[in-house]
Amino acid sequence: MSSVRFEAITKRFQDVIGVANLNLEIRNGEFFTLLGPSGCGKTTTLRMIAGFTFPSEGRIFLGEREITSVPPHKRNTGMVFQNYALFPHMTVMENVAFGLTVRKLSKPERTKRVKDILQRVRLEGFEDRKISELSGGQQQRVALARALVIRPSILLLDEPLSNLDARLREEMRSEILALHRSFGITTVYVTHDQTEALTMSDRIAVFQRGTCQQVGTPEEIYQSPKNAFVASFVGETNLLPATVLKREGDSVLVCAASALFEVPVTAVEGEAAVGETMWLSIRPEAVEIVTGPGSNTISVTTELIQFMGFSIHCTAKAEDGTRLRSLILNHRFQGMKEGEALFFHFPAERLRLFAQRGEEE
Amino acid sequence: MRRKAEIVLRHVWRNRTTWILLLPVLFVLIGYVLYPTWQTFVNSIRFNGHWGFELYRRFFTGDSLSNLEALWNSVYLSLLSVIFSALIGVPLALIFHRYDFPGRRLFQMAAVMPMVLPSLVGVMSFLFLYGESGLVTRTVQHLLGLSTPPFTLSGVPGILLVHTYTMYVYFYLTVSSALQGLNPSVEEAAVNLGAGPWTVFRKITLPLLTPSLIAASLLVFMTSMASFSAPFLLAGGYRVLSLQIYFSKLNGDMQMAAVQSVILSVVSISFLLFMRWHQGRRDYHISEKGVSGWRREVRNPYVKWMLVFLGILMVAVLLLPHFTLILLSFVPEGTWTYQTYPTEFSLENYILLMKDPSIWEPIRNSLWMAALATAGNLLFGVLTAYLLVKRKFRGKNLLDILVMLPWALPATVVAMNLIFAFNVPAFFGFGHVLVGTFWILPLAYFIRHIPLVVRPTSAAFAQLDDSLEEAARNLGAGWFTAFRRVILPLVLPGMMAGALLAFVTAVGEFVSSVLLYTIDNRPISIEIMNQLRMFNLGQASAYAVYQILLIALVMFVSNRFLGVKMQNTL
Repeated sequence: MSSVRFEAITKRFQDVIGVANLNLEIRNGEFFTLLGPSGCGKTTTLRMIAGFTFPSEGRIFLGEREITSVPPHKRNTGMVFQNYALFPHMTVMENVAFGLTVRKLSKPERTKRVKDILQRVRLEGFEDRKISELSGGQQQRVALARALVIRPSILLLDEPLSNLDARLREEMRSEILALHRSFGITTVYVTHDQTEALTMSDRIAVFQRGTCQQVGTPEEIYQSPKNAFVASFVGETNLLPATVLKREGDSVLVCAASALFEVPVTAVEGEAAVGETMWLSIRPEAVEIVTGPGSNTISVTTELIQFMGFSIHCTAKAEDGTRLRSLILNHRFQGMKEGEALFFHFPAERLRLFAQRGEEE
Repeated sequence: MRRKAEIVLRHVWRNRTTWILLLPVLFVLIGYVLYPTWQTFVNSIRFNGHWGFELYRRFFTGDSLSNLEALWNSVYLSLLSVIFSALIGVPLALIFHRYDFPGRRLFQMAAVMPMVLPSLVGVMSFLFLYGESGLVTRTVQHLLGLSTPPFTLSGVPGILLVHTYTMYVYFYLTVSSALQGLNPSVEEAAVNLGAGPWTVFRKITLPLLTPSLIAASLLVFMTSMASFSAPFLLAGGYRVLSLQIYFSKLNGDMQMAAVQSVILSVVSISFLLFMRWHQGRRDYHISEKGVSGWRREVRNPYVKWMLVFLGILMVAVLLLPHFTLILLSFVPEGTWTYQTYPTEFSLENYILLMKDPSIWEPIRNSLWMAALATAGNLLFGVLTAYLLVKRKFRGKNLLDILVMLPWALPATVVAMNLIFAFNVPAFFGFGHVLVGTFWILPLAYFIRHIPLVVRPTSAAFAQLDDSLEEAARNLGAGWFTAFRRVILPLVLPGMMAGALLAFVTAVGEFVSSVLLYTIDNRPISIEIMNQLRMFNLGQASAYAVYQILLIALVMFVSNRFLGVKMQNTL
């Protein structure tokens, strides 16, 4: 078990930047997720821990040991690959025992540990199966067993669930979490699926274009995104251009979609100079529907009401044409009609004000 | 009884399309593959009017053990050919797949160049280079001031050198394509689990390459057992089985030729069956999406430039035969005799090709006979491939083996089979004696190249969704219309690639030609031999250059327009 520390890591591929100036600490025993769209540098970061990619600049520590240029087979990390990378010419037993054989463990010790781990991933009795005779979920569990049996100081998971169907994915999610808890092993998990990241992680690092945008607990990432990219990549958000009118005390007054909103200074990214165009963000489920005008309130006409069962999705148009989305739980506010005039209230504590729009990937 | 017959008839009627299509295919395979093979066998067990295995006894225990020696020599040579070809081909594939360095693409292209040399032409160019009066031999002799040639290309080393040059390509291509199918993350997983580079190679890479290594070994072994041109020109007194057949026929000992053919056939057929069994047994190719290979860039400047240097050296050695042929094709007759290097160059040989009808005739013969054979291959190939892939019937596996047989049997044997079957009026010869006529050679080319068209066409059919034909039928098209309008256009590229390959192979064919030609239909390869006998190296080279250009053109067309990868042409 170990922590991982990245110190000013940059990785260049010819003239493309893979990862730019990364400073990151993954704590001992933590389930840490690297989240981002494809090509954002999350897999490169993972592969630098495993040693398949060497950083162009900076240093990496595994615990107190610097591993920046240690070859991959001397790092004692356990990795589960996206396609599992099971050895097709070996049985389940031989696959799982491979790392132990390489470490020259005695045969009885090897057998004991393999049996033990296969039991923990619920694959006892599959020892002599060929890899091609296993289902996707079983292959996944062999890959996990193979990585865990060497008692690695850190477990690396590279989008391990992306090849499974939806139902199996849910099942494996809890299985991986259960294994993480029972082994207490530091785990680094790469995914582009925000639901996976939010439900599984102790902490998340959100990546975009080689840069780490924000590190925090799932709540922090979701509730207080640092910028517009994080807000729109993790969960949904309404993003509208806003002009800063003035700053008074603890709040900033902005004008967006021809309405006035007060945003707490703590929720503002950057300086917010008067006259500057910024971006106002609010999650659909934070939008409240009210019957009359008031502060932080905008008058809208409903366009599309979608009944989803446990919730209702409402798309509405402000007077200047800006589209806004709102999500209401089923037990409130029944009987909305399309084309109805309403008021949306944006609670000040749920607003965020960002400097940039954060381009879509 | 009556009832049973009715059921059978109804079954046949329901599957009448299959049966109607199957009839011509069976006619050809039985008449021109099975029946000639059978005839050879029949001739081998008749001695002085009696039936029996007397001749086989003589083969194995006779007064002179020359036959047994030839069999042993063939096996020995083939084993050595496998080892040497693997020693060159496998490291080459690994280096090109793993490392990137300046000029890699060019070197990769050069690595398959031996494939454009027809067998006879390849051996001939090696003689021109390393033979007793070869260019390289003379250069070394000249430089060292020796009075006799320092070496000469003959016997086992000579044959081995030529075999290695032409056959390492089999290893190179099969291993290359296996490496491409190998997911790099499998090796990374091993490294991640603590295996060093050597352990990864020994325990992961090598086992995963084993199936393709075995396939290539079998291929080289079979090709080498059947090899005729190299021993023919280089063996000297060294006996090999394929050559013994030719000598037996030349000496008029037809029955011994039959026995030798049967024995060589048994070896080849058992290898064919073993190969089929092996291919069906293990397949590690796990199909998955988005597998990306990677090449490591060589950083160390010493290693990098050493690789580049070795690459250039390799290109030089590999292309020397081609350039030699081109160079010598410009040497007029009788101008290069005692001099170290040829001194006079002109276009005379090429002009003679156009002007002198007796020199032009072999080319016309070859093109015409190859065209006839290829047309037959096309018709037969489409029909057979369609039946093999899209239709269900009993005995399909047997049909598949029958189709592969003409390519697995050595060309010498195929020619001998034809001689035994058609040197008398036969039903399948439509009551005529075919041996000694124009038609026997195109027939031989046709039979031998059946698999060359059937295989790529089958592959194309296999990729075709059955629902396409069903959709066409559903829309009201009859079977023939559906086939012509929907299926045929889709399999055309694969089919054409196969046909082109069959065509160029037929144009350069030597082995069965030498046993079957007559003076009126003598093909290019026979004329090359004649020119060599008259020491007219220039004219022989000009013929060779013609062939190489034709093959290069076909390969370019297949690769560029028909999307054929080099490794699929094996």
